[in-house]
Amino acid sequence: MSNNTPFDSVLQEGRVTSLAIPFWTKPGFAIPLIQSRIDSNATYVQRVNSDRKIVGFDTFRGGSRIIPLESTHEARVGDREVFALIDPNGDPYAGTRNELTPIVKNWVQDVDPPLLRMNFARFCGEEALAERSAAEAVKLKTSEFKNQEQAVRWFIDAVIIAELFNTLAETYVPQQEKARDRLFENALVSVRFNKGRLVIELPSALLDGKARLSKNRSFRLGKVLELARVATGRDLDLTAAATPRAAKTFDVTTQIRVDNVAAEINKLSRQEQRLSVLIRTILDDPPAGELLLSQYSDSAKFASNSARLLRGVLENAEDYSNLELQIAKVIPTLLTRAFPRQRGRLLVELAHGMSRHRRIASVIRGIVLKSRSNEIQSVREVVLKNLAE
Amino acid sequence: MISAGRIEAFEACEVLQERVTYAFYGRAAFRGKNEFTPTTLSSLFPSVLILDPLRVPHPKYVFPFDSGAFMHGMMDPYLHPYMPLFDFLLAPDLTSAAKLVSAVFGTNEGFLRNVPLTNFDVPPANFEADSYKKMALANGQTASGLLDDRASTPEIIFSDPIDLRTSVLAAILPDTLAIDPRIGGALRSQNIEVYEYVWTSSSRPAENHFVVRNLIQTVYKNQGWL
Repeated sequence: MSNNTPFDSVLQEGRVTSLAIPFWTKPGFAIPLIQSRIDSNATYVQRVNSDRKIVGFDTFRGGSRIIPLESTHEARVGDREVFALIDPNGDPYAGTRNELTPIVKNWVQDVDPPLLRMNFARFCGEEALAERSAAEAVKLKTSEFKNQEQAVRWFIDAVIIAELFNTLAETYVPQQEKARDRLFENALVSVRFNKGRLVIELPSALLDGKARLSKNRSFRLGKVLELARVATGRDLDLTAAATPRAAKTFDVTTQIRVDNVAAEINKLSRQEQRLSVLIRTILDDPPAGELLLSQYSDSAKFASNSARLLRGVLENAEDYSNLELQIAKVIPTLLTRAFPRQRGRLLVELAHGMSRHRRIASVIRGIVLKSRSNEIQSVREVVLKNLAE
Repeated sequence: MISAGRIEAFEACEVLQERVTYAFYGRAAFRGKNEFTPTTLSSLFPSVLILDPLRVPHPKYVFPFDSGAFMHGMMDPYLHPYMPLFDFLLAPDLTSAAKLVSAVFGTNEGFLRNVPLTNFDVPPANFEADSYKKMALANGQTASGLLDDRASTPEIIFSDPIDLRTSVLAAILPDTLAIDPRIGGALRSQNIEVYEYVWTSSSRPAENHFVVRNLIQTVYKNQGWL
């Protein structure tokens, strides 16, 4: 069961009754396991949103050690995230960050591995200890890798980038939760060195939000950058990365429509006819037209080049609202690229089914009325008749 | 696995009924969407071993996607009902996976970002290739929700044991596994670079996966693969 599925309503609240501990050292953070009732066999894990509030529960299939809690902790949709940890003595705890902070503060300075100490120190707000521990972790990694740049890259990837994303993504409103999650699912971040400074390339959509951060988040961003500076000994520059254009995706029903059109096109022997069907599909059913174009190949040179031109039109279009105008603009180019003796035939085919696309019909009508070419004059009546259908 | 110094299967897998080890080519294709399966430890507490393509045993099978997802019917909307899994077999070497990635994504970076080329062509009469093309496009970066990146990540299946010291370049581990002498320490002693990450919460797996993917990218850059 997961969020955003009909199963969400199955479990709205439960109690953290045990911890899953997939490691053998101590201390460490663990996975809080939730049961709907003490006598229920099913265990769940919480799912939280970007505000760290519980939004649902997913069933959990174990595979790690389970340690029961002596006193259980409530977990309910809408509540703050519940964390779990085992302390240096191996005792399990579960609670919100505020509830666990005083427990962690008791022993955090004695945690030996510097990265783990840093993690616990940040969790309980011991920023100075966190910074010292971070610097120690980078030093240790430098000696392990025998390469300081490699160690710095590791620290930025392992600690800083996720913090930057979390902080900068504040400007995503709750309705954009899925867009925010997609950012985490898809983004890869580039880290490079430039004259002794560190440059982190972030998605421009994320960096654009920097100016709109709340005072609290701006402060947090400053803290993250300071942690990176202290740990690595380098200042950080955040720059916008060029985002590669993603391939659009389409549902199965669109694919089925495309398959039907493709079957129709495959039966057409003339490339002018195939191009005409291609354009009509783009205009009448833009998602199918775009998918068809992305999959389309044609052994005839003119049709193949025209498909490439149309692909460019769609790639440059922000949405489907203005496609008719954009395609109308390239009709003269298509005509110029056609073999001169085939231009009349091309206009005849393009005119089919264009009566409801007035801008394109107008361009075609203008061409046949003004042209003095024999090939076009000879088809004028047929083209005008097709446009009037 | 660590005490034996090698990766090998101790029991037959459910899909192939053989003792084999599964690996993904290039991408840590996590189970990001779990509507149909329970959340597992590997999703909440991810760890990755990065193999050296020049020093792994010869694979027994190479598929263009996750064969388990295929067998569980997750790709059915894109397939002809009579397309069996083994119709999708690629030549059993890493080159065939690399060629596929090059054809579908153009570059390794495009593959890692899961941005398929919009204009890669397949022979129209090759129905399996056509199905694969549609799946690769359908799980691209703006995912439709029907498939995840397992649909376009080549799967490499080994029947021979994979020696840790010889074949494993790096490990990505949560901090508590990396500091354990029996895990992180043992891997380091096998000359494996350990890239640990801070793990605090299991509640937003996408955030941990994001960190792991970026660490993998750094390993590849250090190797000169990107």
